[in-house]
Amino acid sequence: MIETGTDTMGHMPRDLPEIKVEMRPASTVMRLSRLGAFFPHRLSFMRILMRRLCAEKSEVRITSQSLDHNGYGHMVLTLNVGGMDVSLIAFSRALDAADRTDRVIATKWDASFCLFEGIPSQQDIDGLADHVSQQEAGRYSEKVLCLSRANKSVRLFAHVVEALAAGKQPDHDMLIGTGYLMRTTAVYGNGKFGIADRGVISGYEAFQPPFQIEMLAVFLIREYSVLLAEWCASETSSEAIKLAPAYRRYLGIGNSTGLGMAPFLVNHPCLVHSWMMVRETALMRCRQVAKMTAAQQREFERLLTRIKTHLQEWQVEDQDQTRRTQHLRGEFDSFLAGLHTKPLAETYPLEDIYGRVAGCSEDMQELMVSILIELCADEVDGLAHCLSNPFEPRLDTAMTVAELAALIDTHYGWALEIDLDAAENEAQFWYVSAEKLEPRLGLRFDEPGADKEMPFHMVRYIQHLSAHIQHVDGDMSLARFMLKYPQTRFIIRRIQTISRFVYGEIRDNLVAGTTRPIDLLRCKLSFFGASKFDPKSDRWTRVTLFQGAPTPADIISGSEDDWLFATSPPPQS
Amino acid sequence: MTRKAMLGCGFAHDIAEDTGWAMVMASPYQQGALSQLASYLSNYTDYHSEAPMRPDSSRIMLDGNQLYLDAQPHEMLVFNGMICDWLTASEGVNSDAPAVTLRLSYMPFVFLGHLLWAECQYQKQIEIGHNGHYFSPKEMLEALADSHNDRCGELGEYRLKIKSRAEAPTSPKAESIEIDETGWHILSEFAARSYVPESDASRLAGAGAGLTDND
Repeated sequence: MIETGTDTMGHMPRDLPEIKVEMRPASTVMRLSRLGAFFPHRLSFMRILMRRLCAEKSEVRITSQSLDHNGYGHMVLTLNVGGMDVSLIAFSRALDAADRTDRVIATKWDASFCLFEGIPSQQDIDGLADHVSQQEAGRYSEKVLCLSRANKSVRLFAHVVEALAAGKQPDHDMLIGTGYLMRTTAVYGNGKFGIADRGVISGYEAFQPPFQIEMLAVFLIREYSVLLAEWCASETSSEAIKLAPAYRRYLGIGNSTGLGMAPFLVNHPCLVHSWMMVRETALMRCRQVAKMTAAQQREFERLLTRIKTHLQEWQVEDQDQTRRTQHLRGEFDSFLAGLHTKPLAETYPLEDIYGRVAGCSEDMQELMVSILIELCADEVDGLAHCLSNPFEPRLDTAMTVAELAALIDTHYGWALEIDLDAAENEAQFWYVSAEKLEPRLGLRFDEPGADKEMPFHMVRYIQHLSAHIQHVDGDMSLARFMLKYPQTRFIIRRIQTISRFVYGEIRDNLVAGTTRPIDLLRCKLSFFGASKFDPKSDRWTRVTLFQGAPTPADIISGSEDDWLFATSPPPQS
Repeated sequence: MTRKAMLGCGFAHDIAEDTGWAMVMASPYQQGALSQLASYLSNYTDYHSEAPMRPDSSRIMLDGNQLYLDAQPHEMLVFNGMICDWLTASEGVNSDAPAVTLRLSYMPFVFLGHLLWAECQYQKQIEIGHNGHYFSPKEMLEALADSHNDRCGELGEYRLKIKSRAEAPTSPKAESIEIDETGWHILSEFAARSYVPESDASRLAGAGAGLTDND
């Protein structure tokens, strides 16, 4: 784990003046609007996985396959990661259009998957077929590491099969416009439904960084989706061709992400702290780089060119995102123009870059964070091992009430300033839906259920605690205080935890009428490595995972993990 | 599931969370722990209140740093965390260190799971004195598993103290937990009480809503 503070790592030649770069405080970083402006970066979980696969040149093999001419049946893709064989077992079947829904309530899908430890025997495959096809309703052992399911992008899948069967590459605009052949509707890990628990998975060195199992499953599903389309084409015509490598690389896996993901950032303060701390430490180290190497300068110029195109290609229907993207393009162009009129400082050039966007929008600032981190592989890649956090929240009951009051002032001053007499400041509440067992947002004063709300109303808890504190001696231990006020135990533990893990709390009101859950989603998705966010409301977004990432063929041929802000390929023939 | 069942039963969030950890800690040593929890929860079937269930401080007697409590085993659900908080406020074993004296008809598995979790979190050892013998929570869980004497019915006194330990205890590896069908039914029913029927507005705004899924 990394401590909060400043870093003076040895990137400074002796003849240069030392600069002191301070980490951005949690009060700056952990605001909803900023979290909702995050972009993927080289410490995102997909990137960490991809670097490992590229370094090990992991080969994906088809170790079992039984498909009919429609592509229904099973396929097993196996690869070796960190000396361990892992297999994606994919089952596909016919699905009526009426049954095809991306909602989590669905019970049938075009394809269902599990990630399996080792190479499954035919008996394993036969035994898992019924269970995996039922997903949540199935029963699993610890050999199953992850569960997932996906539906086809029907029109694009059919078009790709038809085109390849005819010996042609698919229509460029259609392929680029959709960007994936399948979209997952859920990816389950971490012990759900009896599959391997996090404790089992963290025993594997390769999977110690967060969500590596889940990311690997999606990476293999992406490969499976292309192999399935090529199989269907080859069953249609003996003249069928393979999908062009550039198209293969551009295609990712679609995903719709909603409120189910949001509470994670509230429920895991220690882990979230580690993610943020790693990202902020990486930024600080970059800003302290004294000189850019020639290779870094070339990389910087190449990235800027790619990002300009990427921003142009980022087209969505959502009006708010469109407005923001347009503004971002303008700021980015101004930044590029500024580089011509005023070249970068020769010393501490990355600090110069960071300073140039200090007055820009949070979108531009966070875009630049991703760019800076990308330039400094040597300084930041080792931080991937610090993304996990073994600690759980705990109480320090020997602490005095006065010490607790000081922690509230330091870490929760923002919560004391919010006026809860104004109804709009607690207009919403989070709950678990009876229908889907998924988190949802309700309107506190219009809908029933607020008595069962999830404990996300930090503002109220802090204000109540502060009121109680006024009535007791500051020297009283919290053990005694909590005997008197047991209702404060939850928030006291939270405050003490945040005092140790300062980036673990979102410093905004999560139940206000104006709260935008999509900011939480974007933050988490950026850590996954997703980009080109396509919000469909303020509560859910579509994204594409692994778009532009090296394919298994690229990995074998020595490709590197170079796909941040991927852009579309030119038409292929 | 444990946490949700506790919430559905009416317990406060911190108590529900801690009980979830207690089950993780106790179950490897005592497969009956989850069933026992389910049977305790059935005592609260009729609990209906908008206020979360919390410990009643008036039940507790303090004498200096000594805490005394008489309770039924199932009532301990609400006091478990508070007792661990009191114990862990101490820095070592001395005459002034906080200690706890419980009068119970038997020692609940769930409470022993709480004590194990406290040992693991605070890297301390808890000592339970009973009938002139001294046990660690793990030893007592294992002993109860052997003798199945968790329904002895006689009021007994248990004295709890905490002390530093050189050997760092670790949380056990998660394993599958057994529970009988009746217990599972009770937990599921209580868990369902923590859910809220989804509103139309919420349903219409959920992920994937409003799109053609056959595109």
